[in-house]
Amino acid sequence: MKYVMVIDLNQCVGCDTCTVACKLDNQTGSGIQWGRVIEEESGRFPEVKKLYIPILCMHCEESECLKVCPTKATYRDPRGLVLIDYDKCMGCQYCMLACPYMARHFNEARTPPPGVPGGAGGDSRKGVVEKCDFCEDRLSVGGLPRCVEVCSYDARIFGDRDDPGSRVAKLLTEEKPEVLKPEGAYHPSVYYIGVK
Amino acid sequence: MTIVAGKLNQFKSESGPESVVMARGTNRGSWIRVFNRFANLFGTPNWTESGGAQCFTPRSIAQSLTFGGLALEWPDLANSECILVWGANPPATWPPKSKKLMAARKRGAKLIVIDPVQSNIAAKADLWLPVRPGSDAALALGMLHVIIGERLYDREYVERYCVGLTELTARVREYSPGKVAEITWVEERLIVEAARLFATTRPACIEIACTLDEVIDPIQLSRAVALLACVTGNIDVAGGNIFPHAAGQVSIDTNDFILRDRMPVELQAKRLGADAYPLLSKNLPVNFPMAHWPAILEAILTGKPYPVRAIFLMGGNPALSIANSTRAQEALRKVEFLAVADLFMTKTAEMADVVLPASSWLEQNGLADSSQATYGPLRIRRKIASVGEAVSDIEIMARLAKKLKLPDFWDSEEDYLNYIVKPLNVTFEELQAGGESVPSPMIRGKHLQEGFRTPSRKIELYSRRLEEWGYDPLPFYREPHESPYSTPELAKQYPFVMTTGRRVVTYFHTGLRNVPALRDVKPVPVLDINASTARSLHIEDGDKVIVESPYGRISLVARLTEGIHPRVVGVPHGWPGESNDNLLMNNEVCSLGIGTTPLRGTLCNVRRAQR
Repeated sequence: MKYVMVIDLNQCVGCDTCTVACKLDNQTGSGIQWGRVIEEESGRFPEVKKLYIPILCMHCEESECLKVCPTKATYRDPRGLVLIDYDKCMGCQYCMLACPYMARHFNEARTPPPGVPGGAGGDSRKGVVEKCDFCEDRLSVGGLPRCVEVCSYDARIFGDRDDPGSRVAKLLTEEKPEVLKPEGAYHPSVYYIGVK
Repeated sequence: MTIVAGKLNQFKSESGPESVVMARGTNRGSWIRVFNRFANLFGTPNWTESGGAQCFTPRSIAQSLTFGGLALEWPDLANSECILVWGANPPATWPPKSKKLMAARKRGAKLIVIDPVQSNIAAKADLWLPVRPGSDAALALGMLHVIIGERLYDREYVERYCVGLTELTARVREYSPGKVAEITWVEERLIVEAARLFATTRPACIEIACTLDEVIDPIQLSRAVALLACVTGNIDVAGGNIFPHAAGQVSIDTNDFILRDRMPVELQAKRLGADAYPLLSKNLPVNFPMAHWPAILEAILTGKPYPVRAIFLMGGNPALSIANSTRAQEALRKVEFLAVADLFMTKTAEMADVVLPASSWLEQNGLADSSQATYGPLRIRRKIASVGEAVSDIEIMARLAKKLKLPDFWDSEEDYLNYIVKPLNVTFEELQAGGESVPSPMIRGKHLQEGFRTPSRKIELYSRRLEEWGYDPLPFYREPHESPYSTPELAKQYPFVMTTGRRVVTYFHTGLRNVPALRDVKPVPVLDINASTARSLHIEDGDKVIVESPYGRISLVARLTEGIHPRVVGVPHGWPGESNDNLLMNNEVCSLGIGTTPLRGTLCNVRRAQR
């Protein structure tokens, strides 16, 4: 089993619904977004192209973060997810330097935003590094990552790459999606259609 | 409630019902005319909304005159092959439509987007036309020039269903693509290409927004854009622009519902702004005539033509949301009594004598219909939460109506919902028990068969009624009241053309900055400025900048982009304090007949703030 996400950039309009849903679902604190959408422009006015690119933890097979973690807080789970054991993390932030996708965030437990229950990720993540876990709690009960569930545009497709009947397996064969920073050979689990 | 009712009745008996203003922001749903009825029963002619002249009223008048209904609001996206988005950004302005639009695009429909800024949807366009803010009518007329001149219009459709082609042909002759390119700053080649693509890809539809309302001649602009759909045979056909209908509900746009005839004629004549802006404030042609905000401010501040002593506001934040905030706030402070119903302690609510806690849509039972782009079915909403003492706006009005002893109002939210679904012969509770929606297909082609609701029963390219009222029966373009061409001296000091009023995803008008999860995503008010222009002004991405107009100055954060013309800047709206765009706006110059403050295409300067 190997969970992957395919993101169709032709469909992403940068509405940030995923960003907000992720924040609410994972109770992230002020300034921390496990998932976000960046804008990438190319060309000069008026011949300009703009892409909205959702960024999250890529759950790499060659995980730089995992390699540098001194306490083995970062680990790989049998479903292909890269996860953090928050009890083991000591907040050294080496992983943040190592991550080529800037997908990790140090929870300084600054002021929890008012009205957010648990604030700043709750007590369990204060003083440690946190990141997207593909909503593994949802996966465990047969659900989907929240960002996939809320996307109105069918821009995020999620599933088991090893299941030949899955939509992601078909997309990987038919659409030949790309990964970000292929030169690093990190073998990320997040693929993009329409990078150009 | 007792205090509010007591005060309103006191002013009514002391100074007449016209001394009480009843105002709101914008709202949605099956009850949007309930407040009109409430105001009419109370007897004040001075009901208004912040949006009124700025949104919907101009374009609804234009559409009524042209084809007798609101077809421009309802692009049949699911069946369209070409979608022209004019000044709208559906991912931010109307997500349910956006979803349908993107699905259409995925199956191959073409997408043309008119927007000064490369918006979310413009980024997806086959053709993006970055029009100079405020010059849209010239662009539409230029496209009509190409479509009619190259005989790309639907001759059979126009012959059978339209009147006025000869006159329109003569008018659009003045708008050659070359001339229009100079006016609009859009390349000639793009104007021609967009016109050809729209006219030759059938069926095609148009999606619009309040951009069309926020220029110096809003009715003319809406008409010019509407005529693109008319001459290409795309009105009332599948995949074109179709007419909405509210199946299963009592119609809320009738006099029986609004009860505007209950008000004596002499009181109606006292409506503030009625003399200057008859299209907004007199009974014809709109069903819900309203007072003009600048005239209300004037009355509060000067007592002329008579004093306004109280405002009862239901949702809305005029302290920030209407042009010239300095004056608006001065008036809100001065008015003797201000009662506000809102979800949050807004800037306006802070100034109020009484704040009534209103509930959100999640705390209300209700309905959503095709006017909210369900495209057919009536959707039934169920209350899922209840916070504190908050109740719905209808419930607030119902309780207040009892205290004011107003006749013919509903007893409660439940009473209203039962009334509104009467055509279905069920109670609202029974309806909820039956499921989430009542199916109802969209109707297409009805008016092609039965005639349009216009004087000629046809689509009026040439509007006799506009002519009778003393306005130009054909769309035209004139320069905004201030622009690089109409006020070249002013433009030396304020060299940028500004567009504002744009929506930002995560926010809605002045609302929602107080929601942490949303604010975290869009933390600061962002000025869109061309990257090369910015660098020539020593402005880098993320720098604090000052935007100045002849009327005020605000502080924003620069976002450098290639997705905007070097001489145009995009100013965000709805931010409070020193970033409030309405500090830049003059509310004295308003459009002819309807009183719109032009928000698109005024002048400003930009400089880096001291580091």
